[in-house]
Amino acid sequence: MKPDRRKFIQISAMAAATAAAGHALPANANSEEMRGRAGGGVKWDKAPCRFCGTGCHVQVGVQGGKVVAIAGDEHAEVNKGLLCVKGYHVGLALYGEDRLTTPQLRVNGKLQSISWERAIQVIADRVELDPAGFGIYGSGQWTIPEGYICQKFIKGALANNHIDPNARLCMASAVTGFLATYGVDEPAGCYTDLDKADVVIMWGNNPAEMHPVLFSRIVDRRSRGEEVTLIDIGTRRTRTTAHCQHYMEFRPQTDLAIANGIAHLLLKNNTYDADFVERFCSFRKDTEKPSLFGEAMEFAEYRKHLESYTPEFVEELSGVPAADIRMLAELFGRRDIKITSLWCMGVNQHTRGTAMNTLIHGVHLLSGHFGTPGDAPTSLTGQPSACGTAREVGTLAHALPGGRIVKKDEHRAQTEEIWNLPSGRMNAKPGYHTMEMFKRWCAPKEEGGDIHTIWVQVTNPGQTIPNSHQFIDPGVKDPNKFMICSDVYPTATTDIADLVLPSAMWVEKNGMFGNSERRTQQWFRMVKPPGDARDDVWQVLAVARELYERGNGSFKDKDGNFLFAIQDEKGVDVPAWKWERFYTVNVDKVLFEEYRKFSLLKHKDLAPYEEYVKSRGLRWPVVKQPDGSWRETRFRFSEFDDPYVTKGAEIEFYHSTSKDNKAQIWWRPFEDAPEIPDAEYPLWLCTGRVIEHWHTGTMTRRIPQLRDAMPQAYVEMHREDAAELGVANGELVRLETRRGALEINVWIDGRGKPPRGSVFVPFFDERLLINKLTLDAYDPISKQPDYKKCAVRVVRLPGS
Amino acid sequence: MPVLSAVLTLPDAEATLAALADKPEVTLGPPNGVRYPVVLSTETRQADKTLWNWVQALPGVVHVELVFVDFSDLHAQEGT
Repeated sequence: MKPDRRKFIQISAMAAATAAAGHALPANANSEEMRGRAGGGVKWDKAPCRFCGTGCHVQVGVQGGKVVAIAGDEHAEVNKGLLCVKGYHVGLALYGEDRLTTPQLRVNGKLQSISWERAIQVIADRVELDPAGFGIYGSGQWTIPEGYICQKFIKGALANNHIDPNARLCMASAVTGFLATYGVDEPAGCYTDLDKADVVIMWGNNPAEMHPVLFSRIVDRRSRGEEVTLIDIGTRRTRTTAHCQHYMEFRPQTDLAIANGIAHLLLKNNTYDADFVERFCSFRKDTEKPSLFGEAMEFAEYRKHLESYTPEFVEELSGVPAADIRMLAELFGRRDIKITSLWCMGVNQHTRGTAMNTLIHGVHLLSGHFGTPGDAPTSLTGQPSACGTAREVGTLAHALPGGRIVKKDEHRAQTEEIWNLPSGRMNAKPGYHTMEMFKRWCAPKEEGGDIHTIWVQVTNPGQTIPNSHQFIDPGVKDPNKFMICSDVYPTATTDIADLVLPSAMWVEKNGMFGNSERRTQQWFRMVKPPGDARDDVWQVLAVARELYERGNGSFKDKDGNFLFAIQDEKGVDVPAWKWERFYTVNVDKVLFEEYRKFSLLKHKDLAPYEEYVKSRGLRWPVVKQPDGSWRETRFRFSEFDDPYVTKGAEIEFYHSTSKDNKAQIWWRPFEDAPEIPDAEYPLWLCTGRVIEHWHTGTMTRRIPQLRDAMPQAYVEMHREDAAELGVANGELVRLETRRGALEINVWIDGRGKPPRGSVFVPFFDERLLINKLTLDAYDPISKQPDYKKCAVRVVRLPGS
Repeated sequence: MPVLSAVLTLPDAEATLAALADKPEVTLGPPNGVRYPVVLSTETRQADKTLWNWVQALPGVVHVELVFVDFSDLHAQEGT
């Protein structure tokens, strides 16, 4: 590096760190000026980070057509200039040596390069084979326009509703928890709650590794002398535990008992918030068949159900000392403190996931710890647009954009109107959720396998589907079935796919995400993708056009025009399905402006596209003000901030399922896990993530610094369990469940520390596929599988 | 090789600052309370990794927040 350039970079780096340390920026400073970058030949622009659901904004430095630098964006409210170890390396995710650069078709078992024209024809052929059996499987990494165009392709054109995102595996139980409690999805609060809470409770959650920038906000408050009590309720000690004053270790599945134990004491001690409950809450219980709605229940019945959940009974079930249950109840019983609950996969990936979500909401509602900054039940998401795309665009198999569902006649009619479809085109029957879709893709047609083709986009089910060799193993795949995979690198899924399409990623394309706090974010393409990689939106558009030109009526609107027509600012049709014309118009903007028409019904109002260009994201509902400006909403349902709350109401749950503006407090008992350790398989197996790698490691394992920091997966074991088995640190063992086996190295007293009787394996390593062993049991309401608990045995290998 | 910057939280800074000041690859910025901006600038990727690990493990460093990284040289060296 030339000395003057190096000096320049050092000055830029110091300016960024100084700003992030908390020195106020001059009022007129913009990022480039602040860092003194203007003369460095590097062009900077904003983008949300590519990885988790926190939604940090980064400044991306581009020079010579390459991303050359990354800085935290000091003007971003989410991260205030900070980044985590993944965000700091996000630019390098573009430059792995094995980027996919050309379409490839599997011929005689081997992938062979083909043209894009041929690839598009192959997909169109698969659609025409039987439109009813063609599905799309996407993710919370789809940008909003990507998810939206796929949604329209499947539900508007093919009308089979077989589209689902990997968010089904990630936060479907959070969705059903919100819907069952408030009648509408997504958190009421925002990250400001973390700045205001006196107590933060992590329910089976490890934000120090999974959402480190958010966790930094809390740690930073402490470093400034503020008192914040952190409580970790978990099944294994993690990096988060190390920062907590209290750690409560519970037996897997018994978190429901803990929540019920808190509610029991709030009632017994009369420390619940009777006024809040009377004014804003109703009570609910399950019917014989669990559902989102259940049936109404009186307060007296709720109280009676909870009678048995004494601290001693909860201790017996969960292993958490009765004194700790009392302490939690005392905290919730106080009105002089603010309490925020955080949860993520520990609560969601749970066969009682919906139930546990509703119980956390219920404890907050019962105690009145809701609706003011710092008092909030807040679920976190794992993917950058799990909220924006999977939940808001509604790419789940039963959903439609803006909180609508396919079952409701009026919702389909509204959608048909916006899409200009013939009346009655859309299908009222929900499509297959993830597990069902893959099950039917694996099975022969005569055995119910009516899905013949799945187009996988922006995700890696070959590594993430539980009990995977039963659902996505080429060994059980019917030869007549076909998989298309659009991705940026070879993965466990491209290994299986029949057609592999090279995609543009992150700042190689325009995009929009929606993060965990209802914040919609936008960015522009900054560099070109490698080789012949192309945008996912274009891929779908090109297939749609191919089918339209073949005369397929599903791709025509009710006037006979192309259903996916893209028009420029003057209303002139642009042939954006031709790659060379795709960027002559901002297709993202066109799709977003169409999509945002859906956002008003459930008060998820989105602003015009250009407002997101100007901002570091806006939290919906974003409502136009009399002066023409657009105002975001930080705290929903609270009169002081939410414009949709009736004046004088204070708190108003205006999408209440009980139609009385009240939230629902549910009674949901503890039930045993579907598979429990026994004599044959005596240990619990839990799976999860690590800070260095993002989900299946497809991107982060291409980044040398992250790969070197965490080179391979491992099994964490308790020292005494390892000693009893006779294995030492680093030795190879075989994990066996009723579904599969895996040889893997032992890590004793490693980063995480499971208790006796429990082991933990991260799932990022495609060479060590732990999901061949996991259980495919799922929550009956959300259909989300449980990756956090099944029975396993550990076998010492000869020679260990 | 990468130039990176971070914010270190140093509640009891004296000994830690002395150790950091001994490293020519480390530049400290003006603190804001217990939060210290710092730039690490090394010649090789291995040196970068070693220095980074050393900083994280340094007694008195209770929290590290990454802020900035430049990796333009990596493109040139690795031909990406």
